[in-house]
Parts: sequence; C-alpha cells; structure tokens
Amino acid sequence: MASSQVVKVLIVDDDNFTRRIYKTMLFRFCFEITEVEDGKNAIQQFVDGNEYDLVLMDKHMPNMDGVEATRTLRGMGIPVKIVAITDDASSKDTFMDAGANKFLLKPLTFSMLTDILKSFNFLN
Amino acid sequence: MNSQDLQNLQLIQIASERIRNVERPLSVSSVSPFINNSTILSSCGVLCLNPTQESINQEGNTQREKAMDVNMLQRTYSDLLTSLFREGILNQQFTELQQLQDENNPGFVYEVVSLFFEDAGRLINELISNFNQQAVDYKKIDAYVHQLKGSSASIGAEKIRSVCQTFREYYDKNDIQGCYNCIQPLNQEFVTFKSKLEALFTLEQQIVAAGGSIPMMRH
Repeated sequence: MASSQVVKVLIVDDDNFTRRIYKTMLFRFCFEITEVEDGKNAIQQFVDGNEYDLVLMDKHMPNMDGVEATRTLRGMGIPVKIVAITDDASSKDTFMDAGANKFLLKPLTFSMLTDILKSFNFLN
Repeated sequence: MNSQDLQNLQLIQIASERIRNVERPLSVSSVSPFINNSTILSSCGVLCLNPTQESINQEGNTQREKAMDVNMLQRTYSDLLTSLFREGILNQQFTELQQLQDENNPGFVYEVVSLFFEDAGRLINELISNFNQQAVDYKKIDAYVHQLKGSSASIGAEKIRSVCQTFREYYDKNDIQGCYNCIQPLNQEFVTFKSKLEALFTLEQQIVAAGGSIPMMRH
C-alpha cells in the first residue's frame, strides 16, 4: 500500500463526468482521489513520484490509451493494482496481457466497485 | 347614518382589507386602534375572532392543504419517473446514481445530469456540424459518438446510448449512410431526454420547497 494509511486512487478516463461518478463512489470510502484525462498523464503521475494503491483505467483515451498506459506502468516496475473499466468487451485479453489485475465492463456500479475493493482488501 | 358611523365604516373596510392580506386573522387588539367603538367591533364577525381557536383551525387547514400538495407532487414525480423507465428513456444506471446521492452529495444527480446536458449538447452539435461539411472526418465523428455512448451509459440515458451503439455498428461496417441516418434520431432522443429530466428536477424542487422528500423508487 502507498505510504499513508489512506487508500490512494488514480482515476484515468477522458470523460469528465464518468470521473465525477467514480469520485462520488470512492468518496464514500474516504479515499484520496486523483484524476487524469489520459494514459500519458497517468504515467506522468508515477514519473513525478506519486504513489497510488489503485488505478481505474479506461481504454479509449486521447494521447495514450489504457492498454498502452498499463503496459508502460508494468514496464516501469510499478506494482499498483490496475482495474480496466471500459465498454469494449473485446479488449479484455489485451488488457490482462498488458498487466491489468481486473477487467470490468462499463457502466461501473457501486456494488461492482465495492466487490473490487474488497478483493484487494482496501475495505478494512 | 351620521359622520361618525361613516368614518367607522371606512375604518372597518380598511381593517377588513388588512385581514384579507395576512395569513392569520388579526386579533381584536390589533384592529382596535382603528375602531374604538366596541359595538362595531363586536358586531363585525370578521374582526371579532378568537385568535387562539381560529388560528389553530386555520393553521390545521393550511397544514392539511400543504400535505395534500406534497402528496400530489410526489405522486406526479413517481409517475413521471416510472414512465421514463417504462419508455426505456432511463435504465437501472440512473437508479445507481440516485443511490449515490446523500447528505454529503445532496445535488449529485442534478449535477451529473446537468454536466451531461452540456457535454452531450456540445457533442451532438459537433456531430451535426461535421456531417454538414464537404469533407467529413468520420474518425472524429466516431470519437464523438464513442464519447457520447460512454457518458449516456454512465448516467442511464438508455435510448441515447442505444442510438450511439447503432451508429458504431454502421461505422464498423463502413456504412456511411447508416451513420448519417443516426444523427437526427440521436438529436431527437437527446431533446426528449433533456426536457423530461428537466421536468423531473423541477418537480424535485417543488417537492422540497413544499417541505416533502423525494420518493426513492426501485426499478
């Protein structure tokens, strides 16, 4: 886990109110949330020395898509939990091969998110 | 009738006018500065009111009327929301959003739907504008529709999402005419969605203003 006790989440999605919905869900757990609009900015977060416990990664984004961002993070040796969340069901294998931990189809519901957080032991 | 009687009648008219313009009946003591003839006061039923009992009765009637107004508004709200699900304009994802709304996020649904109105309106205008150009950039159009599909799915705007899905199926088959034929229905579904959700939010405001709570519904 990231150095502090608070779970730190990075939301990576180019749609601003998808990010708003995810933030509202995650605020219920008092998590610390950062949001970026594409894979390139997601990578930059880690390059800048930020630490996260969880990344919610969209697939189709400008500049760098989610699969490439996932592959790049794993190539950098970043062990963060990555959950791919996309409406592109055909991208599951690609995402998992790139190093994602979980794959979910949009739209994300609160119960889906809770199940994921429990599976990673983020709800203690 | 002498001049004093005439003057008293005029004062009674003024006092009566003042009573009609306030929610509660005036007490005798409040109108007596205008009329110091106790006979006129006692004979004028509208002035000589028992402030305690009449106030309570009127207060009770007002509260009953308010409760009926709230009930009617809540029924209208529930009926409208039910019809939105029945007609396929909304799906279960909208209920998910409603369940995310709480005392920490009291205006959450209104906020995200308002954001959607703004974003979707802009995207649809871009789509229409792009299709009207001589050299149509289909890749850009597909990107817009993809974004619109995602956002409509996130808030439960089912019909809009469905038209976007149809568009992308035509796009994947390089069926440009099929893509073009989706634009007008997409705009129409958006207009319908916007007007119905605005009506829903107006009802919410009226319910809250009347002191009621928004009915939660399971679908």
